[in-house]
Amino acid sequence: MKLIFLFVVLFSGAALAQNRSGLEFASEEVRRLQASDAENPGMLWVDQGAKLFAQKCASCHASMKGVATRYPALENGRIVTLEGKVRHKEAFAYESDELLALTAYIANQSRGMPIKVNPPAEKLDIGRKAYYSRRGQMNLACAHCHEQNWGKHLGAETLSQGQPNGYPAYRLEWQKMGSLERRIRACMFGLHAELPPYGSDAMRELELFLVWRANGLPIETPAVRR
Amino acid sequence: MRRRKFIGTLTALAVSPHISTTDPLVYSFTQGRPVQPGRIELEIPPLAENNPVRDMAVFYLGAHCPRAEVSSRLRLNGSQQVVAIAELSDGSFWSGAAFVEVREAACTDGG
Amino acid sequence: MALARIDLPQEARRGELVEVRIVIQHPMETGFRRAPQGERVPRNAIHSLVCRYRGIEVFRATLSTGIAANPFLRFFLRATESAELDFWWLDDDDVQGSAKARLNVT
Repeated sequence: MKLIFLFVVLFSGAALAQNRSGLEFASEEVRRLQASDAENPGMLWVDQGAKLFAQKCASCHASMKGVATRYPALENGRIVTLEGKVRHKEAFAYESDELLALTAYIANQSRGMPIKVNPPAEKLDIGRKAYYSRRGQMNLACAHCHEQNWGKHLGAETLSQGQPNGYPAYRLEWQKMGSLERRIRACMFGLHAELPPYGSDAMRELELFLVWRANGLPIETPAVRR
Repeated sequence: MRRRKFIGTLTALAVSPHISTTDPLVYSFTQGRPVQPGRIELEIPPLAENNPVRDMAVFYLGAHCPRAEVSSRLRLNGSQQVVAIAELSDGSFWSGAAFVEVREAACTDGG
Repeated sequence: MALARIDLPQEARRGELVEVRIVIQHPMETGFRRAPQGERVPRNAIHSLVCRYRGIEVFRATLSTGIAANPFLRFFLRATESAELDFWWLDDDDVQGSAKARLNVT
């Protein structure tokens, strides 16, 4: 009986008392960069996205305001990310400038609006389990850093809660814009774990859980991160 | 007042802690003329991350640039001194330096 | 053609100091990076940039790979009359880029 109860407590609900954006853990310079549309390199992709949207999407779609707050979404039981949705008409390659630009533009249209993703509870199970499962040579779960040790230091960096609300984001390490999936893969690479392919089931399930976990946090796209 | 001696050309270099006027990169800019420390302020965050290369940039400000101030973003691969040398329209050279600590990312990214 | 974002005040008075900011989309490849398959990504950075105002060169920069990708530049200009600010640049692959913005001077 006790064991089952423990299992339920460990795996139920969000274990963070309060969601904090990655911005709170960033340096002053990074915060300043993100706050300035004139200097934020991510805005270059937003601009490109606006042009592409006008060319390829505007004939069917009007305003994208609020749309990004609802993704990943469920369509016929299948988890669809914003990237996946954008690819419905034209299959842009994952991490291509076009796909990054379009998703950045669409998410930017929801900048400042809180994430509101509400899938049926059972759809979160796999992603949640993945979040709490150890992986890789380092044998660590996402939760070890981002739930149990956020705010503490890893080298010169402060561990964040690993919130997804700024993606696609301009990461200084990449010297480029990148998607949430790229960031997740980068983290897993750090653990020397197998990297789930872009757009794979495993990736989308984890993303759904991550974004649901971030409910309430305002979208910051294009965020700037280290 | 300082504006009359506007900065004609300014070089930003990454060199060793002391400016060696015989250093080929410095020489290519100053042609051996004396460089005095002072009159340059470098605003650089003390902690940064990323990439290599010694010569960073040269900026040329003309008479239409009334303020001798330029900003950009650099990449550094390790903790080092960042040096800027400016040539004023009166032919004098001035330098300023700032030390930047560079740390590796906590985890390797792998792209 | 590389995208760029130029930031200028909406309007400036004659004789006023104007802050000019530009970000250009460009990888500024150092030539040290390796692609996923292990091959070196060749060096390609913007090395020359010129800004003209009223057709006169007001700012010039020689950049190298030490400048961060998606290069950002900020400098000051004296507003004299309403005219275009014309940026032009060239990279190691001999690809040119340009962008312009209008400065309105009252």
